[in-house]
Amino acid sequence: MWSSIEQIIKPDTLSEASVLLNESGSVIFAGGSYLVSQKDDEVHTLIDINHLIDDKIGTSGGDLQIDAGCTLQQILSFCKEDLSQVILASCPSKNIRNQRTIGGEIARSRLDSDLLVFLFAAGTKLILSHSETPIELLAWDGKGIIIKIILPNHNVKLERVALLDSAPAYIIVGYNDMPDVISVCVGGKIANIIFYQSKPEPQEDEVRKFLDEVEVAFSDDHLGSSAYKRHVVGTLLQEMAGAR
Amino acid sequence: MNVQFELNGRLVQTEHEPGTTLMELLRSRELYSVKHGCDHGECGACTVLMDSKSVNACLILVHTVSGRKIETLESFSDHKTMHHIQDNFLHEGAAQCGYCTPGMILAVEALKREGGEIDEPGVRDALNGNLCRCTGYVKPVKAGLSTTKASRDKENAGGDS
Repeated sequence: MWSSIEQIIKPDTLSEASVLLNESGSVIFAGGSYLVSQKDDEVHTLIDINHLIDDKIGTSGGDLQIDAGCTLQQILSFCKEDLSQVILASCPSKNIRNQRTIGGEIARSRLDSDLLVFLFAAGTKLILSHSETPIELLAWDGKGIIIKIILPNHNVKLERVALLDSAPAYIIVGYNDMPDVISVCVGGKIANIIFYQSKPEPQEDEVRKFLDEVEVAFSDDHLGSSAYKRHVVGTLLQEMAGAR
Repeated sequence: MNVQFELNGRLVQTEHEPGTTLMELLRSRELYSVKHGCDHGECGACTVLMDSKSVNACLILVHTVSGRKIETLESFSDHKTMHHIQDNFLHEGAAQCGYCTPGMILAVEALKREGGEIDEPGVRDALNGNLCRCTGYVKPVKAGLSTTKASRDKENAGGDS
């Protein structure tokens, strides 16, 4: 029982939902698997938008276009091998994959989500309810309602370091190796997602600066020192870039 | 709140508080195959089928099942004869305390309903969200694989499955 819930509102439009969201104690409710598992006592109103968001998936001009209401299982049965593996690592439980939506996965912004790191590295764009112009996931401030995710053509390799295959990873490195640009994203048990983009042959001092930033974002804990984690990220990147 | 949905083949209408989960509602209707495990979607003990897909009932608020088709293990048996998946779990010794077993059986049934070829990785993936703390997974996986063979044989013989 989520006992703090006093009302569930089903708005007629997403604009109405956005206005309702300004009330304190209100949250957007779509797939809902994260929200219901946490049962935050400060939430008393759910703005149910399940009837307002679509759950279709398709390709357009080489991009994968995924409606925010698509479940991870739906995407799994549609997408390329690389994204399938990431989804399986992010969410091993099929029951949960049948419930969790990609919109929710992004909105939740879990730093140890393999899928989120993958999406960052791939240069994903979002379409929000209040604008038809896509914005970079990287530039999203967490405001607004996600209605569509655009995953451009990519070549992302993802490496994860975890105590067990089924455990959340404490280091996740995504590396998108495109002909004219490389993008790197680091997540895991970290203070914030670290993103780096450069031309295919980055300068040594640029890489060092990026790894300095990585080291600061990680902390010393039972999984290792931040210097050790920096070393792991550097090694993984060397391996992933090895083919270049 | 008022919700109408199909539960084990019957149309039901229910009054509930806004934050009520499907697991709580089903157990209040004496459908005790839906176990109260972790309440966080971690263990799969509360697995039910929603429109033939396996889901954790503890993570579903009742208002979202309006117009959906919900099935629990109670709908699988007439209490005289066992459903063939139950039979296979019994035959393989795939249950010990039995707390996770209803969820596992429903996960296997959901996999079967997806159609397509069923292999060990597929069965393991289907059971991935169902934690067992006593029997382990080798026997449930064997039961899952033999279930699919049994259901195919049954279908080929013209029986229902």
